[in-house]
Amino acid sequence: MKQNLQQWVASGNPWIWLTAGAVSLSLVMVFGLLVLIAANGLEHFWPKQVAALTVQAGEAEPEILLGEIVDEETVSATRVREAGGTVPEGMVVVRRVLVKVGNRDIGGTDFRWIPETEIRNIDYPSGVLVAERTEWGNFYGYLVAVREGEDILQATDPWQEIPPRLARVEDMRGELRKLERVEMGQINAGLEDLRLRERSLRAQGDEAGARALLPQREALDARFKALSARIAELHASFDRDSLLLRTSTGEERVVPFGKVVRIFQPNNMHWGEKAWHYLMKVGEFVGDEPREANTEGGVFPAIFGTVLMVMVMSLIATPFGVVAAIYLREYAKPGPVTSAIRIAVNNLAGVPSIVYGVFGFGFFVYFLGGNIDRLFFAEKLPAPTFGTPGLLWSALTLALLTVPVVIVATEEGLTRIPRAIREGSLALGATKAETLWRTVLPMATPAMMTGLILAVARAAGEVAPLMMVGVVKLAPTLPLDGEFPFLHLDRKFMHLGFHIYDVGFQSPNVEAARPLVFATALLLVLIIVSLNLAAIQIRNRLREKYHAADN
Amino acid sequence: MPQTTDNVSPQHDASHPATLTHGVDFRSANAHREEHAKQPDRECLRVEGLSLYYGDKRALNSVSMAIPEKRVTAFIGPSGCGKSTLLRCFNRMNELISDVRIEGSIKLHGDDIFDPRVNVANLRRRVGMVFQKPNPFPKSIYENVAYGLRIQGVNSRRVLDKAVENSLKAAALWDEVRDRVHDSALGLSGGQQQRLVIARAIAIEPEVLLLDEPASALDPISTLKIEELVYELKQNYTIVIVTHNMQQAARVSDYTAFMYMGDLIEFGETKKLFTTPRQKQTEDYITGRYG
Amino acid sequence: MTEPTLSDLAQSEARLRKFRMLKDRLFGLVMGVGGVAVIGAILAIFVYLLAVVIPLFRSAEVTYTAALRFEQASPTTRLSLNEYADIAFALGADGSYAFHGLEDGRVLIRGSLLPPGRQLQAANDSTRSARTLALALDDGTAVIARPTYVETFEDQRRVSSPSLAWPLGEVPVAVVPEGRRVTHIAAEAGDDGATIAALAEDGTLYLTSYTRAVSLLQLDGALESTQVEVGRLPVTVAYLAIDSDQQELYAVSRTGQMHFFDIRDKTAPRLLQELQVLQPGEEVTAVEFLAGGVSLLIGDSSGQVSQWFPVRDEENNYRMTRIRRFEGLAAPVALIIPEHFRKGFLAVDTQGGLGVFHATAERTLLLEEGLLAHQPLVGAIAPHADSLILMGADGEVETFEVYNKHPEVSLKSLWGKVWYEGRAGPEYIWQSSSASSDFEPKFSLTPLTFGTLKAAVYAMLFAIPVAIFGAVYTAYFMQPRLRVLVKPSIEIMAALPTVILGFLAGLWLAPLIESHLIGVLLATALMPLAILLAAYVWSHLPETTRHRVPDGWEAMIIVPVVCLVLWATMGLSQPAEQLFFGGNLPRWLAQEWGITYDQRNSLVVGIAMGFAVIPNIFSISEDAVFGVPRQLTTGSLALGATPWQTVTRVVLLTASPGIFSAIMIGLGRAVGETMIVLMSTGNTPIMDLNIFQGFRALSANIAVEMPESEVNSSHYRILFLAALVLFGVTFLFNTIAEIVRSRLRAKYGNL
Repeated sequence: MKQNLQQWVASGNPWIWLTAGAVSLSLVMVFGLLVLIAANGLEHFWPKQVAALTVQAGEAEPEILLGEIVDEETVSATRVREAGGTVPEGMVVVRRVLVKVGNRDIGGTDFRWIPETEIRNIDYPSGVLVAERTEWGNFYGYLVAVREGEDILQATDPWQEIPPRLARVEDMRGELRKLERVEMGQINAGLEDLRLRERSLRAQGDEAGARALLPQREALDARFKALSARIAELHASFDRDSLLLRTSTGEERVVPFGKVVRIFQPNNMHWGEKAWHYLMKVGEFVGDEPREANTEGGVFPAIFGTVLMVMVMSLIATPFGVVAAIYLREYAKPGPVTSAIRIAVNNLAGVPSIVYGVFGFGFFVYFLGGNIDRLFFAEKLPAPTFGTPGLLWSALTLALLTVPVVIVATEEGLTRIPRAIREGSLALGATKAETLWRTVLPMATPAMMTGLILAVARAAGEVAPLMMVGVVKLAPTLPLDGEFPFLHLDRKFMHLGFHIYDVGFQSPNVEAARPLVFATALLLVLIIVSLNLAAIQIRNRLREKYHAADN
Repeated sequence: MPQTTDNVSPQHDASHPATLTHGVDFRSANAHREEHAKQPDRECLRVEGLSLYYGDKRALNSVSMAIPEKRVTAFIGPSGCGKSTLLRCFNRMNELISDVRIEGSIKLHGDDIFDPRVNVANLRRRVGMVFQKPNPFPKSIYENVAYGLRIQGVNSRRVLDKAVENSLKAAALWDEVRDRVHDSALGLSGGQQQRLVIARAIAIEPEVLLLDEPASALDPISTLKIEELVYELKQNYTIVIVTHNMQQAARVSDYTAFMYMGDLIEFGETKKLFTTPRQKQTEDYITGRYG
Repeated sequence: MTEPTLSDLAQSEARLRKFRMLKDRLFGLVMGVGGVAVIGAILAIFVYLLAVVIPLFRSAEVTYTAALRFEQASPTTRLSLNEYADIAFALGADGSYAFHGLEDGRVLIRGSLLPPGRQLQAANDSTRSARTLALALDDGTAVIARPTYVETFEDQRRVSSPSLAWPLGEVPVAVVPEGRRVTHIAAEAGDDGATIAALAEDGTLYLTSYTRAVSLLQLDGALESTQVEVGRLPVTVAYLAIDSDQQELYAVSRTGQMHFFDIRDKTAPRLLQELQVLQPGEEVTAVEFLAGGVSLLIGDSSGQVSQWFPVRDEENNYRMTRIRRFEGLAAPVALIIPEHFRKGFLAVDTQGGLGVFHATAERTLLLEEGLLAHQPLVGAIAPHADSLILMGADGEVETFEVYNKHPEVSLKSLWGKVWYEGRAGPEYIWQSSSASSDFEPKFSLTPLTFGTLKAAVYAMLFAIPVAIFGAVYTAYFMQPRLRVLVKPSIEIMAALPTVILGFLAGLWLAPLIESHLIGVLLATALMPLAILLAAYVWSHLPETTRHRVPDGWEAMIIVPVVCLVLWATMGLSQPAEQLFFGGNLPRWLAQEWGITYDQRNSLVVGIAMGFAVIPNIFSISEDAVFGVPRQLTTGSLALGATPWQTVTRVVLLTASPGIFSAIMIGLGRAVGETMIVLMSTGNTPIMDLNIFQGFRALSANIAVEMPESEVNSSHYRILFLAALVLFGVTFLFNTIAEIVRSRLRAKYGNL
């Protein structure tokens, strides 16, 4: 049946299509966003071909640029001209490519936009190497030679020399880290402990007791000296080997192996090698520490901090939330007061998280933490122990934030349990506690689980309150280590969400860090979306189950 | 047998089934029945001047009656007449509803169940109850039956096994579920679930079994099975059954109470009540003039 | 029997039962106590926030602590206190001075500021608590002195050593031509020199400037001086005052005639303005500078104190303007004591009444009549404004403790327009900190609240139509099989961490919109048209094609249309910009229409935050629409209404309370959202409706400033107040939503 336009409008169908359009738009946005994050986050680790671009701006000498083409766009001619590019008259729009040229120590910038009008030639020469360095970002160029000390090794193929020397440096780096972090850390902790003991003895007027600590201190000082000497020695031989590299413009650079993380030749790699490289990079991202002000390397401490904080938070929020829900549903006398409390608790879930941050900052950090310090850590003052943002306060603040979620979910679970089940248990002579413990609560566990998962998903993504009560951009130590008492609730920690904020907005080299931020965002989205899907799954299963019990 | 509660009467002591026949001999059921019928009726529950209010609304109006031991007593009457409310008084289930006020007394073997010293959990152990809709716990069949015993502190596997088997046998369910006692109880049919609930109730050896319209949610065949079961169970238990089905009352009960608008209109032997009702209202009801 | 039967078990039953009862009671107790504690704890957030905020609005308290007596050679004319309020400096009428310990009043150091043989002729009036004293001698010269204190720690005990500093040296310097006598003097001294105004007996005003020639080699260079005759004033000057930047000179007569000079050029002072500062019949009784030395406080015989400062008009001329007046004192003002670091001051009247005021906040913190036993002649407040001393004619001293922590905060200074020093008029300003120590923090929450609302409004403009239209379609028209997939997909948006949305908005969307602004605007306009066009075309396709897609799948047909529109408009954007807008639309906007364009602007926030609130609104309104009982809609359809008529006349009407509460909840979320507004705007606290400019929201402001604020300072407490406002507003929105929703449930629960 065909309609003319007038009939069609009169039927109201256009409106229905508009509402359908709203749904489509929402779906396009959701999935577009997820695809955007996923594409950008996953692509980052794939070794891109290194292009050699012959660029000629206007009448200038052609120049050869070496780098990865990472982006391209079409812009108006004016914008290109404003950016200093040459565009022939009459052109309206120009395509331009973004080239990651690296070599920040030589050129100053990592990235350059090149308009297509200036590109004379692009090829992908074999033999180009990419060196990931611990500072100044990537190096793109060619290998000239490998040096040991001042000597240039000429007898062998230099590429043969690289792997063992990189491995050697890697070993030494591990040892250095062990010496510096673990052993030095122990000695320092011992010294600090002695200093505090001395101080508190002095404060009590026990001068003799304070002097008696002297031999211990001397022993530690001696160990400190020995260790320092060993570390200095390692450092000296660490920089023994170096690479002699050449840039596309023929400039030569000496790069010590100690500053190199990885060397590869992307244009010579086949896809198997690339896949292996990809996996290594993903492994590094998940398992390593960040480098270069968080713009390179991994996010392991952030993952660790997020997970630990969320775990501590769950340990606090779950039992308290469940208890509160049981009280509200099973023990509190139903009436206007209880329903008012219920509404209030429901609404607390909608209170902005920043408000909790303010509360945590004022109450936990300054009030509670300050008083704990005065009572138990007086000898360390004025250096604060708990009177400063830290893991414990973050976990407590987020627990407060998520307790309403747990309460609401648990209450919903308790409400759904049919009255007949409770009556059945009571009629068998069970007390109220026994009825709850043996029948009602086991049946409500899935609801509690849902609550917990939703709470965790919310907590993992919260950043604003944490900025006040405990996260830092770079924590020197993990909050869990071999030092007594192992779990350091007073320490500051790193967090995936804050990592995104910090690297994306506070980092000096946002462009270079952007892929890493996308990868971090992808990781966070994966965690949170899967937690939420799990919660939805559990909830649906739960509903089916009660459906069965209801009949 | 030692005194186990503060309020057990000597009369009760003598009559309590000291050793429950854990294996009911079903083949000689008829013999039992004859023997059973010969025994004289003794009083189990005595209701005196019982009134119950939901807030300001009176639901029971000074009801008095004596329920004989090891007999089936049926409560009939139109919906909302208070028969379920009265039943739920016997194990104080009504107390779960807030705003309920009770006057008068109910004595179980001479002890007032509303005495503040009475332990409600213990009372409910002695007065078991089966509800209108089957309400098995979402656990296995075995755990459903063992639930009451576990609460009483019985944890011995052997004792539990035996008790579960006996109870299921007593509830005429054993043969149907013997191979799957560890399966979920929610997988049973409605009639099976109701018999399971009965097995669960008798596993803790109550003195009285309250059945609140136990067959109303079931199909006719399951209903018949439940009725047979009631007939068997009265050998050992005092049974009070609420039903809106007069035929059912006539079939299974020894005594019948007719209630109307919170009043106990008539109470007597079933045969007499159905054949020669003393009250006009009773006659109107059983002849189907309202209900 | 070998097996234990139940009856055997009964033996232990009594014990067991007791134990079970105990367990039951204990469990109940734990749940009760724990439950109440948890609920109490989360509700205590509100109480704690309030407890931190309340001190902001407390009035001042002045408590009498002790009475002392200072030994004095001649009556004291100027008084000051050190930082810890344990030493007082007193200047006598004869030029003698003494430092007194405040515990017992005993003299620590005593001496004379004058060279031997000289007489004191005049001392400056506005000393800002005797921090710079200028003493004119009988030979036309003057000395400038400052009491100073060096704090040292010995054995962890603080020791204050008072002494005198001489900015121009101890040798008197000439301030009027030789042979003249000085009747009034005013002076200000800085690190590199001093400016002194002196009035000679005959009414001629002289301005003398001393500058220290600072060379690289010699830090204490020689003094260079210039002296000019300003002129003879037509009135009898009673007060002379120089501002702390040594740029303005004021001469005030007792009758309120003020002469206002520009003395930036020390060799050519200029009379800028001559004005009357009083109502007829009143007299000037006190003149002092506020802290910072810009505002002049003038106390008069009616007990009023008025604040004046120069305001620049459109012709770039400074005019002395009365900004505000403080009333309340019952008798003529005898003394004005400005605080050292804040724009607060104390005023004492001739009958011993005391008032504590704050100028900028226009706040009267305390008014007490007859607090003082006798009329004080001089007084001083400690630098921390926590301690006050007042002194009578015969050396009687009374000391007071002052509680006055947050005078700068008032409802007016938080929400109203405030006229700050140096500004052309009253304004809303948030500026909590600056590099300068003389800086007065400006705490107007209005621009921040405006920013929050701006963000919320733009977000809602985007979110409400999309979410509610989407909800209607999903609940009413969409095929159930599709609905169970679509609904959670959109709801999962709500769980996305806002830091990710903020990151994408700031680093991906903002540059994209800047370079594709035309595309974005085109897409907004074309999207509905394109959808309608596609729908119309679809309705004319052959039936066989249309039947391949079942009813309730329209949304899936539209998906490619949406993608196509987005792709096309983005692709058209750059050429269009080059052809019609000179290749750069933001610059074109600025040049042609004067609209400034920030890269991170409200449009970006609107889209990003709209994205964040769509799932909230969608989910709740979808539930509301879905919950409309079927018999209502079938009833309407049976009467011959089209599906869309049924939707508008029955479904939406019935679900409207639910949709309303969805909007409230969305609004609550938009108001409190932090990371998106923090990351996708420039966080400048300006009030401007322009969609292409940024703003600063309350929540982002808290996140930015909280970690740096000093604990328990006014700034800290005001940030708490901002949090309390957010808490209150969102709690209110949510509660309204919840009540509306539960009403709705009750109404349709039985349908």
